[in-house]
Amino acid sequence: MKKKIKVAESDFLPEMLPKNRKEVFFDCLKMRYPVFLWAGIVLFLFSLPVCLLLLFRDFQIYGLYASFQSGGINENELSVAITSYRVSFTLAQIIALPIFGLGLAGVIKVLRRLIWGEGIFYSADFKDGIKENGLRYVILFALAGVIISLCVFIETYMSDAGNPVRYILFAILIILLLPAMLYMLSLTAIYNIKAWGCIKNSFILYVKTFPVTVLFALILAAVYFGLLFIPNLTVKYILTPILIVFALPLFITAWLLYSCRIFDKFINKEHHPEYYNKGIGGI
Amino acid sequence: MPDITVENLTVNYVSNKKSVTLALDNVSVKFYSNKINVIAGSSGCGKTTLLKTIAGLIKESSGNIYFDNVNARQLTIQERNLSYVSQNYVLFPHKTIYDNIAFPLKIMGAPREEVDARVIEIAKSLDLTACLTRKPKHISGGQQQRAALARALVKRPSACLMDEPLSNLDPELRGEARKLIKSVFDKCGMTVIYVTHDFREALALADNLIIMDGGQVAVSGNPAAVYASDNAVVHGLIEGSKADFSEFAKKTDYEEKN
Repeated sequence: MKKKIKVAESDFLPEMLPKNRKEVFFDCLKMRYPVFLWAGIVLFLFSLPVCLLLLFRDFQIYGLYASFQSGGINENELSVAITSYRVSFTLAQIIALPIFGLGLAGVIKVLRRLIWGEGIFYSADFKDGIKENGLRYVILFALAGVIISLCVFIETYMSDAGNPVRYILFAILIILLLPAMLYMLSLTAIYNIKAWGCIKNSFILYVKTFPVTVLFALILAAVYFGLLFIPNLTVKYILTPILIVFALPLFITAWLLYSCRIFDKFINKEHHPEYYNKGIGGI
Repeated sequence: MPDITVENLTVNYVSNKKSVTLALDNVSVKFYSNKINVIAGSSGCGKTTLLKTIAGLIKESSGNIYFDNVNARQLTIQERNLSYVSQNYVLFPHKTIYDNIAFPLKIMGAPREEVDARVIEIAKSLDLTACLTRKPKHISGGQQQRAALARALVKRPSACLMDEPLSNLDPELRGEARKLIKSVFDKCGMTVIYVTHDFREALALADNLIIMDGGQVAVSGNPAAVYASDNAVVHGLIEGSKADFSEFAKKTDYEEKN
């Protein structure tokens, strides 16, 4: 028996394509979800060094607590050992995060083609993405590792209540640098731009779009630090891969689409008409 | 683009019980390059078997097929560089239309830039650009048929074999699709072998018409000559199709007088 071919009742017309970036996001989610899944799996693979570090740190700390409860070490020794593990983990992240950055450099090229409605060639696009964005992403993620380390140092060594320096430093790191870094990621992914221009434009765009950009940065920071400090290890190790595989590609795509909207408004219309509204209304 | 010559081709189907069915019986026919060669005939006359044997999907029992002067036995299926459009379109349901069209090029290992350029070029010419990010189930039958055609043409084959590609379309869409196929192949200039059981469709499309019956070629030639012939199979097809051939008859009269 012949299998009946599923067909739409009427032609698919250009008017039925997404009309703005928000619609593009939901359209991609509905029509090309496997791309997100692929991106999530690749990101998870490249995040394994960070995840393994986290796992190692948690098991060490768990062992220390067990030793403390059985009377093997005293409270002071426990505190010193935990601090030492936290600092070591944080410093090791400066090496592990750029590996994740390298994976993201490839994945972002695939996601860029996705939101522009272009055909996807997973391995070729991934390799191209690493070639085009790799170095800059590695530097950015090393920098992110340094920032996170600073946060941990501040948390560890300035934890006396009411210390205003602690909050000021946190604010600078989370509210000033992280959002600008998000712009650096999307500017690098889309334009062939020099380092200084990228840094300058990132801060300018951040200032112009302050509330939404901060919201994106806060979501990212909250999820990252939230995961680090979840007390229940089972929940943590179930939640981490789920978030990386299923939620992170969506977050990156949402950010890329939001950036494109901002670039359309401030850059593309005048300087890069070829990118203006690209991906809206098909090729 | 090659002329395809079939010489004394015989194909037997052997069933489990070792009974032999003669599907093609000593068929000799020529398909011309840069022309739409239409094979018409009633069901079971051997049209699809002939097409599949040319494609290399069915092994001949005896006889030869030549692509210009090269015997098909010396060529692998890939070296024949043919494309095949079946009546079910056979689009991958989980792939987007872009990926469906790009598939043969990706298999050939074409570079990404070339794949991109060729897919967009063919999609534009077949008015499919809006559908490129959709999956087959989201587009209409006419668009699916165009997508199947785009996939067949994108690798620039030396010949395109089409097995009743319009049979799944509504009658009102068929006329439009026929015009599109005719105009696309007139532009491409390749050897086209088109199988249909619809005699009206055959007359509308053919530059060279081959009528088959019982595994043999009953009559072949230009459509006007075939239509005007006294062949009983042709008369049967005209009567069986219940279509109005008055327009074609007028055209044929005009061509014969001039």
